[in-house]
Amino acid sequence: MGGSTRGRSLDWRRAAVLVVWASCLGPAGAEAQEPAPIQVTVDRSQVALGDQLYLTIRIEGSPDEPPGLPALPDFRVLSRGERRDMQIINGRVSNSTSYNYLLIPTRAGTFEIGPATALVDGAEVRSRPFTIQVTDAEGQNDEQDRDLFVVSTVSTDRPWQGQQVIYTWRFYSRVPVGQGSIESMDFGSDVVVEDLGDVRQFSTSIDGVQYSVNEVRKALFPQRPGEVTLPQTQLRVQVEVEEARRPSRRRSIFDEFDSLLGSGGRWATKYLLTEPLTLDVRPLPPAPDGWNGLVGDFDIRASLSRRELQVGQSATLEVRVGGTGNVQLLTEPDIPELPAFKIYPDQPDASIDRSGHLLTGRKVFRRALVPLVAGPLDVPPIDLVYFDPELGDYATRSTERIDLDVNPADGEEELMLTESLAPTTGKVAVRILADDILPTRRTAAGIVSVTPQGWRLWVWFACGVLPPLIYLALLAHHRRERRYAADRTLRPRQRALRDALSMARKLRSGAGPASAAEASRIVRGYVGDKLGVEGSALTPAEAEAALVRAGVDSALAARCRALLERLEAAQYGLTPVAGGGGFAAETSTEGLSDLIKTLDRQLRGRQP
Amino acid sequence: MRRAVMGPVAVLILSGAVATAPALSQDEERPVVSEAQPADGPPAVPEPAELWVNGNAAYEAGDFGRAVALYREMREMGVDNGHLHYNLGNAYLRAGELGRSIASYRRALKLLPRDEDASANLTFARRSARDEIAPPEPPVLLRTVLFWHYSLAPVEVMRSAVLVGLGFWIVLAVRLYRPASEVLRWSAVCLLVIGLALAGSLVAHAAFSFPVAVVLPQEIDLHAAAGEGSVVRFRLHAGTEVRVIEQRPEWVRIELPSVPSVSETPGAVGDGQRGWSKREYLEIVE
Repeated sequence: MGGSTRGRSLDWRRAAVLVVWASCLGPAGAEAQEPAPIQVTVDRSQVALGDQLYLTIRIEGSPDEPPGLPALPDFRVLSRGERRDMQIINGRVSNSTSYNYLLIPTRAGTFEIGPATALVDGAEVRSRPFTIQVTDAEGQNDEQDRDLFVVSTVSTDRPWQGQQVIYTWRFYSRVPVGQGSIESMDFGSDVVVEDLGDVRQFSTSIDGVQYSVNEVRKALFPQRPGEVTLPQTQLRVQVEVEEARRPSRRRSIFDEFDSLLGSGGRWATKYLLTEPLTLDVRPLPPAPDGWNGLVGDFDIRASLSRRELQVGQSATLEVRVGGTGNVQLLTEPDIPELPAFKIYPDQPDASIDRSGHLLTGRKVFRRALVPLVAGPLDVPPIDLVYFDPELGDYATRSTERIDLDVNPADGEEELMLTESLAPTTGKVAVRILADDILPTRRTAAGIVSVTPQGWRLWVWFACGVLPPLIYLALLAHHRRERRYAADRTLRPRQRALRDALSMARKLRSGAGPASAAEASRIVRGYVGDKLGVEGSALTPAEAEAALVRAGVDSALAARCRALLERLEAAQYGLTPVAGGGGFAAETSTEGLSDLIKTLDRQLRGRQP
Repeated sequence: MRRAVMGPVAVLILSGAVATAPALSQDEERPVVSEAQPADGPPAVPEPAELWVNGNAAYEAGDFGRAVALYREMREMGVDNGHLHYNLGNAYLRAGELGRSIASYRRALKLLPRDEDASANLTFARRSARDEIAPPEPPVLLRTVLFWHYSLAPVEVMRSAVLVGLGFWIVLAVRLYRPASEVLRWSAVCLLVIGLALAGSLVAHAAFSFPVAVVLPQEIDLHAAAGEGSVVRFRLHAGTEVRVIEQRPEWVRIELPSVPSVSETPGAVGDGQRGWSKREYLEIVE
């Protein structure tokens, strides 16, 4: 019922370079030979699933109409406009038109792209076919490692015709993202679509990884039985790619303002596609009388505003029909004949609630009933027929019978009339006779200086100065945490020397097994932390090899290995390889500290 | 010590009571004020609250000279607010010192720019000025476009700038943890714009405000140069407001802002005319 893919960054510069390259080659080729009347080029012939490529159809001369694209059933095709070029070579003027398209593969495989066709001066020209290879996106099988992905699910994949199916689309992200827009969420004509509220945002945890989730919900109503395919939904989103683009440059405070004003330039566009979903829509059984298309769970209630009235007075009959399902089809139920009343219909009130998890709605139908005769009267039950997907059959709900007492009329109503008074006349313009200043103030504010003084001045000063400093501290902390999250070995690497030296200072002196085990753990821990591997699992030989690979002198690595071997021997009660005296000296605090500092000097600045 | 604290508090409470109960007579007020004063020993320095109440009482009693003296004493003690300047303006005007009243109203409006009473009294006082010269005010268009600059006192601008800045940094900090939030982004942009506008207003208050001088005597001579022997270029009368362009220890050079009906008044001087006056004849409003 669900599926997902991940996106790749869009390299506009690459496409631009190719266009420029093609433009530069054009004149040179023209001198050598007559260019082909139609050329189809792509910026790359191999592309990963979730990535995109640019297809350009270049037509020499002025085409009579846009070119016919080859069949591309395994790609989503987005037009990116056209461009006209004019070249003058040796006094000869030539025109060409380029049509640009963005192709987004929807599945992996090798695809033979057929020829594109165009009409130029009444003659049809065709391009040569070519091949595009779409590979599975590498390293994307483990969902836990993914930064961005989209998932779409449906509440049921075997609905009844007309049954409400909740389509849920979720965008998971754990990296900063900017503007995002769903470029296609078209379900075709086989389903009726109703939005369910705005985009919801919340956080969730998947296998211990925290994701920010944007969720879109829609209510779908399949309109025909059989197999109905819900096509892929495409999301276009801006993703921050700061370190990847400018690794040598440190971010400054101004970058935050750039990001704020949208001019940071560290955002790349990604396209994310969901997998297509298929619904197996079951046909409805033959409908009983009175069914008007409702599928879902519905209820009907009726009430009368007055149960006791006189002949000629009116009471309002209110029939409420509502529930969950295809509420758009709610119509007034058949009301039985009421010969004892004169009936005046009113406009119904309808409301559809799209804010919840399901599409619900209700309609209120009102009629004014004026009894024509005195005596006990009643409004008989009103039936509502609908198809209940839970039961798999039609169901009927009815209102209760409403009894009322109608008394004979008293007499005619007396009208109360009110006379209006005649307006006054003879208005006179107001004149200023004299003027004076306004009186003095007596408020206690007159003895208080407006300029803050004393501790208040310091409070205002602190409010002005401290927030940016606190923000800078938060920014530094936030960036450090992001670096730690992006590279799990970074924190141990940075702390390796300090932790190792601290543990070395606490090392117990002596050549016993306990000291040897502790010293071995310190050295392995340091090597492991520094090189980004599990230090406790390293053998002396592996530690030496890892150190050499990291750029440490072979002699120093060998010394480290020999020490670890001697420590292992001492730890398990074997005779030390190089004698007890040297062993005790090397496992002293000073010996270990020297070794670790020497290793650290050589490893400094090197990545694991 | 306790008495020293309680005295001003009592006067403060009293002043509030007076402000909220104007029906009290002066006779009812004075004994209460006098009780707050020490009975013996060296004469104590009066508190601002005491001066304020006594100044108001003197004004109500028609003793405008004493009211002016008490209000000025508050000023010399460092009290500086729009209400004090407003009352001082009223007292000056009642005492017949038109120039000083206009200067006081200008100071009041500087600190209380939206105070309608001070604006009305300033307009009233300006009607008594003899010279047909519009006061040096910024154009209406400028005051409309930069409404926050002209409708907020510098202290209000400073406080608003600090609060907006505080909000801006808080939003930025929250945005670190919710970078995709458009609400936070636009809130930060809005706060940044408002903060820059307020900061610009503060800079304008500090750097581009020009002092204004108000003529004090009934008539003064404006000389072509700073000296008694210099040619008298034109004369100005009490209450006229002019722009100060240069100040020396004893002399001030001023510039006339505008003459609305210069073409209809024979011998009237026009825009930009400058002259020197002795400093003692002018009250300068910074």
